[in-house]
Formats: sequence, structure tokens, C-alpha cells
Amino acid sequence: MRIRGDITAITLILLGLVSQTATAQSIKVQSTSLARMSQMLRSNGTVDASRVFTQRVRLSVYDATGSNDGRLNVHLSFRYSNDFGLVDRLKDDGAADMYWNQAVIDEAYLQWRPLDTVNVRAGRFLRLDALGPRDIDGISLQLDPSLGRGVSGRLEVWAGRDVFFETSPLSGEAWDIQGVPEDSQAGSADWTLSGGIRAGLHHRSAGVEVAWLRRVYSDAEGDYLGEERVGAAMHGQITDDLNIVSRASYHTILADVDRASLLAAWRSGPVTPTLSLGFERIVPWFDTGSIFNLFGAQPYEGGWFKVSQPIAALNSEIDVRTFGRIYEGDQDLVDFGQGSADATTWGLGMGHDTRFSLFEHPFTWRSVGTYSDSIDDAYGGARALIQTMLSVEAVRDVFIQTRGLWLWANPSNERYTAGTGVTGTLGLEWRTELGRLSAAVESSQTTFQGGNLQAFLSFDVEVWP
Amino acid sequence: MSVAQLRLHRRLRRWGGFILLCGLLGFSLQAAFGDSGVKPIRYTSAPSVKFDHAKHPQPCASCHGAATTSTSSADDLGPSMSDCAACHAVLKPNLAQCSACHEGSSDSKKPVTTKAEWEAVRPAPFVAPRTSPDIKFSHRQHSDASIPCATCHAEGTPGLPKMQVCVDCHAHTTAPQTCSTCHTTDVTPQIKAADYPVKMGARPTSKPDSHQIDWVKRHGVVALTNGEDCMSCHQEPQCASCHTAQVGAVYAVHPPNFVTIHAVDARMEESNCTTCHSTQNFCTACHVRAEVTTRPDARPPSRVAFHPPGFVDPRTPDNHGVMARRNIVDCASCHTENDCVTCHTGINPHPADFRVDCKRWLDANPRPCAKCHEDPAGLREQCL
Repeated sequence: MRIRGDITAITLILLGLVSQTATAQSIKVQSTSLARMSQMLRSNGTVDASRVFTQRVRLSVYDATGSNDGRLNVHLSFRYSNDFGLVDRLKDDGAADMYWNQAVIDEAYLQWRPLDTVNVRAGRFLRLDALGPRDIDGISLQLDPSLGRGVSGRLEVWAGRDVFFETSPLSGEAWDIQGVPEDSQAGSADWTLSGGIRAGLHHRSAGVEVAWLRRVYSDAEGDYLGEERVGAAMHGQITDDLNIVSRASYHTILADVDRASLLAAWRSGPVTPTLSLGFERIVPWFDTGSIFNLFGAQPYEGGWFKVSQPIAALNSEIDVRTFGRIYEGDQDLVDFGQGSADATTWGLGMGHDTRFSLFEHPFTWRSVGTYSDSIDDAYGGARALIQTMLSVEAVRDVFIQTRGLWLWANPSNERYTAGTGVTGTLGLEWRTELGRLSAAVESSQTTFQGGNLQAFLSFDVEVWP
Repeated sequence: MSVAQLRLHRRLRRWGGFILLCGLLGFSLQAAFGDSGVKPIRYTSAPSVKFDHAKHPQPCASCHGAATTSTSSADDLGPSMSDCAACHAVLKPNLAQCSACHEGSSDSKKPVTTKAEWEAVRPAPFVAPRTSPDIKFSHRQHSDASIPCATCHAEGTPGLPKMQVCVDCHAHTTAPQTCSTCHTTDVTPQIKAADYPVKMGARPTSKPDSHQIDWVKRHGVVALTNGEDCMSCHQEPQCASCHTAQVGAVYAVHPPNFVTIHAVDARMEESNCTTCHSTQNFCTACHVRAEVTTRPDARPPSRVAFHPPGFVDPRTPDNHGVMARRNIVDCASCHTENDCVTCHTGINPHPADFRVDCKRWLDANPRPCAKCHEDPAGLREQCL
């Protein structure tokens, strides 16, 4: 999660390159500044007051050669965050020092397209494929040939070193830089290398891709295989009204499908009901360096269904949704007095999205209410939640938003006693000529954690020098 | 490397990054607001100027002089007030009253009638209504190709030309047709301009058909299948505005008071959490701050128990072994692996069919085995 020397060097090189591209057609700078303040009760009754400031800057140089053909683009993105309220004893605590004086290079790469069908990326960048998102310090060579009849192909070969951000999977060889206490078993690897291939076919409204990746690392005691998976993902607009997406991956060391999902959405017309449903199966699995793999994690399967109906007379859309999940047990062993039975959770919800005008001001009003529970008090517990949100453009370019939330929860297995909580928020957004300024304040009172207060202030700006 | 050296190294890395950030920020601010004729991007602002192009037969360049040399869509090519004055100070009608051009303005001010008085006026800059120009456009290039202004800015067409206007020309000439011809994008061209009407349809917006009906739930897999297509219109900061916790828009993903709700959600939707959060890193850091941990110095209140009574007793139906198999990610949110090893001395934690799989796991990485077994290599014989 920290800046490392190698990527800093790459960044400096890219900055140097940027400085040489005064003739570039387009330079874009995007800045996000975010301040968060909170007063929250610790479990021991004392107050944890955070004062976090985060600044992110992204610099993009398009057409760095000045040829206006997108052949060479350069991107740099930095983020700095600091919690000025962090207590001293946590500033050097491996488990919490992510809050203190953290500078991160999110991106630092150049994208070069020597030919229309060839795309090369080098540096620190985000990759997406059927196996998930992955930030790497590395290089990617991609071919995108046109196969005729509106079909294009894709073949990518990539290699690099994993970078562990918020979106990264858990990895045994990365725990030291994630700030987890030093008693984690894996320690730091001498080197690590990830690589893979992906191939795909894409039509105008559909696509399918397959991907393979392998990650190896090494330390003084030997070389290890951290991860090896193959996967496929597809999306398709089967008809004008039916959209389907699906994804599955097979873990070669687990020797099982570790993730599979299917989602479909259908609507026959603008005033008819919309239906959407989904299914997923997941087997929790960690890096091979983790002993968490050795306890026999069971898969769980879940499904959800949602139907929504526009009501033109009210300028509104209402929806009803439900979900269920089964955590598989060891039914065979239960018969012998061991193991556990399947555990099931379920939920039900209703919501609406309504637009109306009052005193010539456009309002948006959304509400949702949900109830979820677990069968046989097995897992999760019961919860009811109602949330309503109202926003209005009070004056031109100034939006006011209010929210209210009520919660009741009774967690299972006597983990907590039942409790309730209420929350109110007030937000303001001002879209000025120079950017977007947002502010919000949130106050909560709960029987779980007492009261807490949060405030946010953010400013987004984009400039094209 | 000693602990002190490690800390020094870590601090140097951090401050190096901070200095780098300051440099880039300074560069950005200088680029954005420095005295280089650069104009900030105007998001929205309705013009208060009354103007009828039909009543102004003069050549376009007489008011939009910079248009023939402009190479960036970010350039403000609207005329300044002195451009208006160049004609109206000496020609009829002489706009002696502010309200003749500026809607809602008062006429109580002293009339401006002479050219000298016009030139002395220092009005607020004219701000055109336009969106953020995610478009690369060179007026000069089109002007040099002798393309008349009216080809794109047809008489009576308010504002900027629609994408279809661009496409109609580019599809039938030798002009380039890739996305990156006009848009700031990294993607390899997938849509030819000639395909645009088929792909996008003749709709009032460029939002694809697929972005309907629970699109938020589906967009992830579509992005994993063909992220390049997404990047035709979107850019990485838009992903980060939801998927990067530190700079994410407030309430973009989680509702207010999520800190109270998250415990139930985390148990029921753990896979959703790990879409964005690295379980051990993210969860542990906050729990340490709140002193809601298993650390010896933490003092969680008695009414908040992480585990039910009898959690370590294997005779209890939902004991920790059962729960670990049910959702091991739940355990990993707070516990390090040493927590398991500390108690499981001499107690077999493996499932019944472990011997079927263990050889493959041992071959891939024997290090987790070495946490408990002194000779991992010797274990191979016990695997099936």
C-alpha cells in the first residue's frame, strides 16, 4: 500500500516524458480533494476523532507525440491521505498506520499504440479480465484484430508485479505491505511475478473472454506458486430487451470452481415490469501461503430476484426484491454427529424512485425498506432497515440532499443484544464554474455504539491546460 | 534490516511520495490557474446574453476570431464584450442600454455610447454553457481543410454540434474514424464512425442500451469481459469514485451510518465487501482504531461479543470450526493465522477429506504446512 522505489523511479521518468510533450494536443488534470471529520465512540467509551484529508491528482497527456491520433498517451495518478487525528501510538502500528501519512501512486503508465491493432501499456496500471481487477507494475501487449462482420478479437499477454490496493485480492506474500502485524506467517517475498494471457471475441452487443493467470514468488527457502486460475466471462444483449452477464473461474490448486455467477435482466417495454435475477457460487480461497485454506472452507450459493414497475401517473417506479443464500454444510457428517447442516439466510425489500416538482423545483425522492433474517438462527441474524432520500435543485447548480435511516438488528448466535439506530444526513452540492463542491454532515444515535457525528467536504475539478 | 532502519525506510518512502505529490499538484495548479492564458473549464452557466445569429450576417471570424487557430476544445471561442463593441460602438443599432444584450440587467447605469467608453468596460467574462470537453478538437485543422463553419454549426442549431454531425462527415471522407480521433481515450479502436449509428442508435443520449435494468449489478462483469469498451466513454477516475474508498464519493456505495450496519452486511455479503476492500487490511485497521479487536489491550464492552457462548467448544452446534468452514473470510477479517496456530497445537483442524487434496497443496506451497508440521516434505506420504 506504500510507494515503492521502483514505481517512484518509473513515475519520475514519466514526469520527465510529460515535460517533453509541450506540443501534445490535450492535457487533462483531474483533482479530488476530500476532507472527512468524525467523532466516534471507541468500544471502551472514549472518543476517536478522525480528521482525514485526502488529495488525489490525475494527469493525463493524450497524443504525447502531438499527432492527434491517440498513439501515445501518458497517465499519472497520485493520492495522499493523512488522518491528523490519529493517536500517536497507532502511527507506527502496522495494523493501523494506513491512516497516517499515506502516499500512493495509483497509476503511472504510458499507453502506446504503434499500430491500430496493437496496444502496449507499461508502468503501473489497472488490468481487467475474466479473473477480476488487478493492479500491476508491469507490461501488457494487446492485439485487437478485426475479424470482419462486426467481430473483433483480442489477445493479451501481460506480466508484472501485483500492487495491493483496496481492490486487490488477499495475498500471503503481500501481508507485510498491507500493514498486517508482523506475526503473519508469510513474511516478505524476495520477488514475485504474475503473468497471464487472455483472449476474447467481441461483437457489437456481446462479448466473451477467457483468461489464465499464474503468480509465483520466491524467498530464501524456495519458489512458490501463489495462485493459478483460469476463467471466462461473457456479456450479451441477447435481444433488445434481454441482457445477460456471466462469469466463472477455476482454481487449479483448489481443483474447483471458486467463483461462478449469472445475472439476467429483462424488460419488454417502457411501461411494463422489469425483471432481473442472479445466481452466484463462491468458494472462499486465499493465497496458497495461507493456512486459512486448510480448514475445509465450504462453498456458498446465493440468488436474488427483483421486479420493478414504472407508474407513469406518479412519475415513479416501484420495485420488490428478494434474495436467499445457502452456506453449505457437511450433511454427511451431521448424520454421524459431526459437521454442520446447511445454513440459510433470506431477505425481502421494497423501494420506489419518484420525481416531482414543487414550487418549480425538481425533486427526487427515493426510499427503500428491507428485512433479512436467517433460518434456524444459523447465520447473520435479523435486520430491518428503512432509508429515504430527498434531493432538490434549490437554486441553479445548487443541490440539497437529505436522508433518513432507521435500523433494527438482532444478530444471531447471541453475538449482540438486539438494538436500533437512527441516522440523519444533510448534504449540499454546488456545481461551480471551477468544479464541484460537496458537503455533508451525518449524525447517528444507536444503541449499538452510542452517538457519532461525521462531516465531509469534497471538491472535484477538471482542467485542460 | 533493523526495526529502526525499517521505520526510517518506510518514512522515506512515504515522504518521497508526498514530495512527488506536491510537485505534481503544483504543476497542476500552475497549469490550471497560472498566468498563461489558460482558462478553467466551465461546468455550467447559462448565458445571460441576448443574441440572434440570424441578424448578424458578418463572417464568423469577425466575432470568433480565435476559432481558426484554436487547437483545443477547451478554448473559449466566444466573443468578448469588446468584440461586440468593435461594431456596435460605431454601427447602428448603438446598444446604449445594457439590457439590449444582457437579460435582466438594469438600465440605470450610464449609457455606453462611444468606442472609448466601450473599451473601458471591464465586464465579467462571458461563460458559455458547455459540458466538460472530453473531446479533442482542432478548429484550425478543420479550418485549414476549408470546411465551412456552417457544416458543423448549422444555422439555427443551438450550442455545439451533435456527435452524429461529426460522424456523418468522418464516415464518408478520408478523415480518421477511431474513438481516439475525437475522444480522450486509451482504447484500441473498436467502433468505426460508419458503425456509430448502428452501435449507438439515433437516440437523444449516447448511453448504450445495455446500461439499463440493474446495470449497476451487471456492469462489473461487463467491464471484466470488455473493459476497453467501457473506456471508450469512461475513464479510470469514474471507477475510483466508487471503488477507491479514500476518494470515493460520499454515500456513492454505502448508505449513511454504515458503520452500524456493516456487521450484519459483512456476514451476509462478505463477497461484496471483498470486491473493494482487502479484508485483513481494511477491516483490521478500523477495528484497531475502535478498539474492537481481539488484542489483549482492547476492552470491547460486554454487550458486544464477537462470538457466541461455547464458540470454542466443538460440541456446540455453531462452534468456531463450523463457522470457519462456513465463511472463513469472516474469521480472516480480524484474526491472523497465528491465532489459529496458537490453539491448534495437537488438534487436527483439517476436514475429513483433506488427504485427497493435500498433496496438490503441498506441492504448490509447503509454507502453511510448516506452521504446524516440522517436516512438510514428509507429509507427502500421508496424502492420497
